[in-house]
Amino acid sequence: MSLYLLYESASGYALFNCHGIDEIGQNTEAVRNSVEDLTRFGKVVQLVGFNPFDSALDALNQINAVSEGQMTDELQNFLEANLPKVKETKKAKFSLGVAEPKLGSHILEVTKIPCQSNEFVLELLRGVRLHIDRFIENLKPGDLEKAQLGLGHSYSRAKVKFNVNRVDNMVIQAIFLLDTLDKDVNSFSMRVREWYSWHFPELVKIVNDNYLYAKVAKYVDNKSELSEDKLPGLIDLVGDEDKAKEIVEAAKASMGQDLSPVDLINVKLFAQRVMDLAEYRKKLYDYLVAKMSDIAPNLAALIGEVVGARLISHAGSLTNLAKCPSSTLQILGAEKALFRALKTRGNTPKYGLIFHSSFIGRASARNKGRMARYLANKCSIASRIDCFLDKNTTAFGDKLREQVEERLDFYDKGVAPRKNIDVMKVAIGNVDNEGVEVDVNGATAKSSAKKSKKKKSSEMDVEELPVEPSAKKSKKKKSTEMDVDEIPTEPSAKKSKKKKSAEMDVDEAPTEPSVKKSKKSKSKVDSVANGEEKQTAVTNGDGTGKKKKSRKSVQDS
Amino acid sequence: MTSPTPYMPILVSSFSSLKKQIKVVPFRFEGVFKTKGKDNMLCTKNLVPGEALYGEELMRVQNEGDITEVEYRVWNPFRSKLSAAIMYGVTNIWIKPGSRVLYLGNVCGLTVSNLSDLVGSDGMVYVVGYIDDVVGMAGTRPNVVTIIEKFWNHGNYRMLVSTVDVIFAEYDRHLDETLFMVNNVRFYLRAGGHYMISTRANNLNSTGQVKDVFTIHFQRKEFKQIETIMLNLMEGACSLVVGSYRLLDD
Repeated sequence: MSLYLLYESASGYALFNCHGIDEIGQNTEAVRNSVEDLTRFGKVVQLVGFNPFDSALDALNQINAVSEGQMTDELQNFLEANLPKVKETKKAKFSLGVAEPKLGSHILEVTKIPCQSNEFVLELLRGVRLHIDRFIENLKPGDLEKAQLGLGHSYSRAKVKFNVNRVDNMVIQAIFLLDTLDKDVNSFSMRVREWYSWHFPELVKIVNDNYLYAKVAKYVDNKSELSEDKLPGLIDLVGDEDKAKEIVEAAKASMGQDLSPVDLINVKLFAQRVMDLAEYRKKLYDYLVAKMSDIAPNLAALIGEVVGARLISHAGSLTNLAKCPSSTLQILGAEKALFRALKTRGNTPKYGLIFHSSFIGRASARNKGRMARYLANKCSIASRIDCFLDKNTTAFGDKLREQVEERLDFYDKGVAPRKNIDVMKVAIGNVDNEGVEVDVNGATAKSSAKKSKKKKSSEMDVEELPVEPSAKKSKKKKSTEMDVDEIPTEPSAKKSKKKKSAEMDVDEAPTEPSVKKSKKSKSKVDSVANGEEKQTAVTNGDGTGKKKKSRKSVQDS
Repeated sequence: MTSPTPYMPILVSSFSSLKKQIKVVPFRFEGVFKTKGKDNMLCTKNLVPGEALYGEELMRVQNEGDITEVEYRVWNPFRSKLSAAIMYGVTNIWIKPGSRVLYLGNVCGLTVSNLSDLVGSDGMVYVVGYIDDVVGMAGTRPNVVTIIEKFWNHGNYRMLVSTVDVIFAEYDRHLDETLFMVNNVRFYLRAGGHYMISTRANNLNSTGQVKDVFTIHFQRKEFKQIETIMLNLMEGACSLVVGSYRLLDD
């Protein structure tokens, strides 16, 4: 029975035929010795066919298939073209040696070519690998290496999942451009005002807005031509009838000089430029908002697009932002003050770029620092979720925002906020409800279980009644039991502004809510649907959770 | 010390070490050089002149009789275990210009870059690891093939790797990974090739000798331990085990 060998290389597929194996027998030791020497090996193994890959893309497809143990059409065609035909009923008189049994079984399934992948085959393949460039004449030395380089690069690229849409560089550039544009629009508007004031000085005082000024200037043109019939148009522009009338009045009694038509045209052109720029700025802002919702939706939901984009650009990239600790995030942007204070042993700044979010403004002076710290913590979480979670969802950002609001309320009125763990559970439920399958890593489920600093660890168990130890302190009336068989009620129905009911779907969600690879995930929701369950000291049906008991919930995935 | 080769550099005119009189001489192994002078630093000839990958020092040295300058990159023994092994006096590293090396394990680009300098443009370095930074580095170096895979899926990257002369592995984890290492060896290492494994010293057994996991676990005949070196330079003791695979009895 003759043995063929399939060898996959970066340049293409090669098929070899081994004669003389009867001489060597199936003894691997003997095979080994003959492999080293090319002449002896060449007598044993001979090239039957070589199929180079058509293009880099083709090669990438092939290697992806090969690494998964699947056979592609090209491979199938190649094999069927070069191997003797296998008759339907009869057993094949040859067998094909492959490196991996998985691939072999797939080939067998599809083409009925029997494959083997044992020690003997491996030894022969080692020989082939050693002498491959001499077997194939078309391959010049160095060709194979180049092919390997190129293929390896594209294979790795594909593995890293280079996703163009989530490139955070766009946001960084956009925010820089936005700042530059603001400055430019401002300086141009000043210029328009000055220039046109030569002709119509009073207009400056009447119309304050830059953009509006440019529009009015363009509309009014020559003030001596401004008459009552232009009034309606003016009213449309300005929006205010009184103002429009004022303008008309001022135009009549104006002390500005006249401008020649050419000059007027120039001023108009310039005013048009300013208007275009202002409009472009608006479009750019919309673009920024759209991009932020693509790459960092949670961060944008929490603190707003502009502040979020500024944070990202200051840190350098989204991953940098996710990597830095939340204390750094708190004072990003106030480095000068920070190091100065550190040097002179004074007080370090309490907030940096974060200051521009609305929450800090709403806190009373005493609590600004505390809000800044809390907000920075939540921003850290949000940025880590955005960086490492594959799915695009704002559920977490919204919940985090709610938490910040609650904290603000707490400082104002003393209303106790919800427990973090509950909020996070709801958030995860929302995410699942969006029909999105959240990425799960069993290891992170375990590690987040271990990291749970809170003494209560709640788990979701599919089989039995998962019980949530109730927070005695919480003044909200959370339902503490989530009955698996029925639709569980939303734990804190009150403050959730979204009306999504957090249905924990028995079959899917609890098995995979542990979402992100974020290092400090404060969500303790782990879930593994196992039969195992350790009751966290709470008995069925009893809502009273003893908080200090059983902190460990061992989850085996 | 080897006798001076025709292209042995004599003068120094480097950016960072202008005033110091530093000589760069070959050191023990082909492709590895050492600076002689105030500090003795191990270095390799830079494959991509002008590029310092992680902030290390570049030294430019003038060629004898030639105005051309040769650039060397310092090889930090505190960060690269191979460099530490060389300084500690390993008998032979078996890697020379033109050889092919398979690098497995905790990849961080450092040792890989110096390996790539060592083997030169004729050799190849195949890096198997799970770090993205390496992909960036490989862009400029034409002799590094990066494979983002776990090295225990040795079959997955068989299309990308040719037979190599040396396998260099650096991993900190449990000894159970030896099985996967062995598979890599059996697929890709040529007979008569060598392997170098560097692990944490908690792989020592009670007598204080490092177990060479291969000779103990598998096929003693094929894997022959040549030597082990204790590296105390880094935090936590590490050790480097050098062995040969199917060494033909001559």
